[in-house]
Amino acid sequence: MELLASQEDMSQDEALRFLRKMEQSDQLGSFEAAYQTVKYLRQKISDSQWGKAREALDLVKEQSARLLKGQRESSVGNMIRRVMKIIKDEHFSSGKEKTDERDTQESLQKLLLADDDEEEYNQPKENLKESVIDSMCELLSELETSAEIVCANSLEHIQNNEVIMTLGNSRLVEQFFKTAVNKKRKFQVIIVESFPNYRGHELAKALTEADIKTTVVSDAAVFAMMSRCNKVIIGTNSVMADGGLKASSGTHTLALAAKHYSVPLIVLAPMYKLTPQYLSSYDQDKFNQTISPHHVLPYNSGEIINRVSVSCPLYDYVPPDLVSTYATNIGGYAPPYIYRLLADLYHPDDYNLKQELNS
Amino acid sequence: MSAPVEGKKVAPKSAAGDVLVEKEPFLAVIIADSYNKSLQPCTLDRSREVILYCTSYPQLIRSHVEKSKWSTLMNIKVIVNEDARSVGDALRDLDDKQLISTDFVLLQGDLVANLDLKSCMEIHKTTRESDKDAILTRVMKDCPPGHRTRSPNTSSLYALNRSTNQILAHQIVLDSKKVKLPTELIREAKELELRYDLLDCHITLCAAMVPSLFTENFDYQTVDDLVHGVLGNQEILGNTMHVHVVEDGYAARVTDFFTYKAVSTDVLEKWAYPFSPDTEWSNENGISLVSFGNKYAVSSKLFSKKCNLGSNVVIGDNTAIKYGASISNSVIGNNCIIGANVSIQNCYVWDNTVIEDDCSLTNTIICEQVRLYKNTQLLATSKDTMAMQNIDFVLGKGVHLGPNVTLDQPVLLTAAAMKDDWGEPFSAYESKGESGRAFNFVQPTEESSDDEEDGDDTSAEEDDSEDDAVIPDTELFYNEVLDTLQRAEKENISADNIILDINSLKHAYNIQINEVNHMVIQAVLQRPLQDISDTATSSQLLTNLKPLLKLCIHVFKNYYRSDKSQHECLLAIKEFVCDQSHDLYTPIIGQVLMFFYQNDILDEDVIVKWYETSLQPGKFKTQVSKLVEWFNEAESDSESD
Repeated sequence: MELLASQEDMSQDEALRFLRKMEQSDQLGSFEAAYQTVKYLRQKISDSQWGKAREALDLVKEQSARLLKGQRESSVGNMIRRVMKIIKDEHFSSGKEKTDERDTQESLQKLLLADDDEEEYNQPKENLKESVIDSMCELLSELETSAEIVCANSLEHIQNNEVIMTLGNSRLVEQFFKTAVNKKRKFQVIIVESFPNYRGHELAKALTEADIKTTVVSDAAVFAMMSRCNKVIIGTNSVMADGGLKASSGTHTLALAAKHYSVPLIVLAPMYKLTPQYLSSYDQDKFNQTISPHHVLPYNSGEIINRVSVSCPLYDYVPPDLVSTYATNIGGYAPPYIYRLLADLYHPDDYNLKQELNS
Repeated sequence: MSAPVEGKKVAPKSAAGDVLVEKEPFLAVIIADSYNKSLQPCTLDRSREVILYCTSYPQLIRSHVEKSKWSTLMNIKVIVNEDARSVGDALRDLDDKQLISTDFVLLQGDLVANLDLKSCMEIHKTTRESDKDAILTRVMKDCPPGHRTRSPNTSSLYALNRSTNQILAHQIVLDSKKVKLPTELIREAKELELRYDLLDCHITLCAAMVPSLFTENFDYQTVDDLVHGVLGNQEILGNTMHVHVVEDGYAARVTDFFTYKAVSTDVLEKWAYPFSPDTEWSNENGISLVSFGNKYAVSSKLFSKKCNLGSNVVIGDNTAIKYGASISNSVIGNNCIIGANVSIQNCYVWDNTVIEDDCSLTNTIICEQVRLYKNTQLLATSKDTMAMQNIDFVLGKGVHLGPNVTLDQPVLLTAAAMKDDWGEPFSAYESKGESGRAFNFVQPTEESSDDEEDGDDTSAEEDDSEDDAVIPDTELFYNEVLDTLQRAEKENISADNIILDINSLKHAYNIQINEVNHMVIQAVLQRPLQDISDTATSSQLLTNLKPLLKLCIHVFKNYYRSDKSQHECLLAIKEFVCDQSHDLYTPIIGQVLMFFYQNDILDEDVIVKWYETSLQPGKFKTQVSKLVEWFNEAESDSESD
């Protein structure tokens, strides 16, 4: 018994450590966060005793409360939704024959009025646990290959002698360019440096090492440089439910400039970045995140600190009409199609995780 | 988030399995007490949120540690020592307990910082490798004069070796425009850097031997004392100290109201990110950013549509703000009610406070459960609204003010009268309006005297300055004399040394000479009583007393030279035997006095005079009368001869 308890402690410890790590570092990235979340949930699900779908869902919910607390990375929530969707799907598919029967027999009216699932998930199903864990392993391998698949399409997006603009530093964008260059495409990249953390400089360094012709410009020069670009390719923090973007600050300017010059804007978005959240008019500011303005105005500047207010927001919201195409790991999509992908990936009940947790 | 003070500790990385070199554990010592009373009265009812070494509020700290997420991540040891009065005491205690065996980080609980301590520690280790005598590294921030986190009381000048950052001299510069530096410094140093722009973050990276230095020098109270001590003994001991100036990151300590305000503003303006009201670190009740300009709130459903929130504002949960209220640069706690047309600027309002209509507050800290009745005005002393200002008003827990009261002079108020050690209220009642309940808060005066005194007998000094009553001192003196006598008996110390001892005690406790006379004899008489059993007879007492009296003959001769002092001595004997009812002495008092007479300590005339004027009839007088009769007989004998 004691041994069990200590094992429990250890795994909880690890989870918290992983969470702390995610919080501490903005650099960890959404992929790592998503991957760790699924891995952690898989471990929880396989370690615990459960027989019914409801129990598994409760387990995930309980863990998600801890995972989501103070979490800025939206991919954690996305992965929790995916796992919940997997459990629900496996629950129905394992009792396939029965579900089919019900589907044919029940009328639309009955389907509407039935307070269905709550009861339904309490039905014990055979081999549910095994199939859920199998599906989660599939999800993990999907995550692992997602960047590769997105990059595999790079030749379709980058043509010879094109001038491509990007902003800041996204590991996916870097990989995307490198894949193209490895396949002997010749092109030029203009990087917007992204004040004040200058992540663009990091990307410039990486690309020049890969022999890609690179120009770094300041954030203010976006509009001036846009006229000579053929394409804009950027990464994003997340893709919102309306097809808009939550991307690093400066992206909105970039997207507007691209629209003005009719330059196509391609967003590299593996599916774990797709979130069912969307920006509503009343919480514009909650959506954003401001960090220490030390790099905008050094803290040791003296008395001026008392007299000015300095702010350093991290994100921009980019409305869907400014985005031309999403290059995802399941193909290219236009913004209006995002809602369809959402319905495929997540169960509608799980869209609002916080609400679920409260109830 | 009523008090945006947060203790932070960077997670220690445990020894990683895949690294061959075994890493030393990362040890941090956090002193939970500030040992600083300048934030009273707010801190009277509240503990800081901190970990590890604590003197006050151990339960609060324990429960905080248990609740916090840190406890699962690292090994937190809470040590409670209610006797520690300073950082020095705490480190001495840790040295005593042998808890520290590696280099460690010394922090205090009122620190707000987002520094990477690990990299600081690495720099400390590199310094230690190149300079074996380096014992500590102080982490500093570059912070030019005029900066708000520079508390006006803590400006220091550092003389550094430019290439190694070694501290060559350190001086606290208060108001004086002059700085004194030893000339050797300028002659010897190749590259000397004088820096006045460094702000001590109060993060000190110490070698394992630092606590033992504190033990060796029992008068060190703070790290500053240590720095001065080490600099003073540099030529003898050869220990060196260094400074590490951090470029990025934020660190500041809340030591007084001025820095409380500065740090709080920094937190709201995100300088201390990720320690800001809307992030996970400090967020237990779901405060989020409501709009740009650093406005934070849990929910705005209790705010009037016509209230006006300026920048840098935090509003707690379940707090209502009525129409026309305007709030800027302020923190409001949970469950507060802010009335109509209230104006609040540069204020910190803690939980459960009610501020009624038409009040106007500036530069104020309001603790829990305060009530301000209608039209209470607390007006700023300075008109420059942009400049960083000090806190003018502090209202302690439960203070009531108003209605229609205007304060325009800085004041600290508490709800209950301050009491000194004797339970006597010493703070004046301040009538602040019809429904007012407020007392002036008086800072205990001990603080200032401490710094100049050499630590040796600070406890006695403190007592002395705290209350004018002399009684405890005389008692202490009396006990010390008793101890001296006991030692003298055991070790056969000569009379001269006893006198020396008593004289130094006299100076230590500031005792008047007549009191010394009074107490020396009483102590001598008291001394044998300590050794004999309750059932002992007077004759046993006498046999015990005699050797002591012999030993002290010269002592008595020293103190009882004049007639007056001899008379005092006799009065003291009478008081000791009669008034303090040491009845065992009554039968033998004649012999004792005889001894004094025979050894030329007490004069015959004095004894007779004392006998005639000061003694009431009783057993005691009868005993003495035998002696007096003998005097008379001897006199008549000699006359007849």
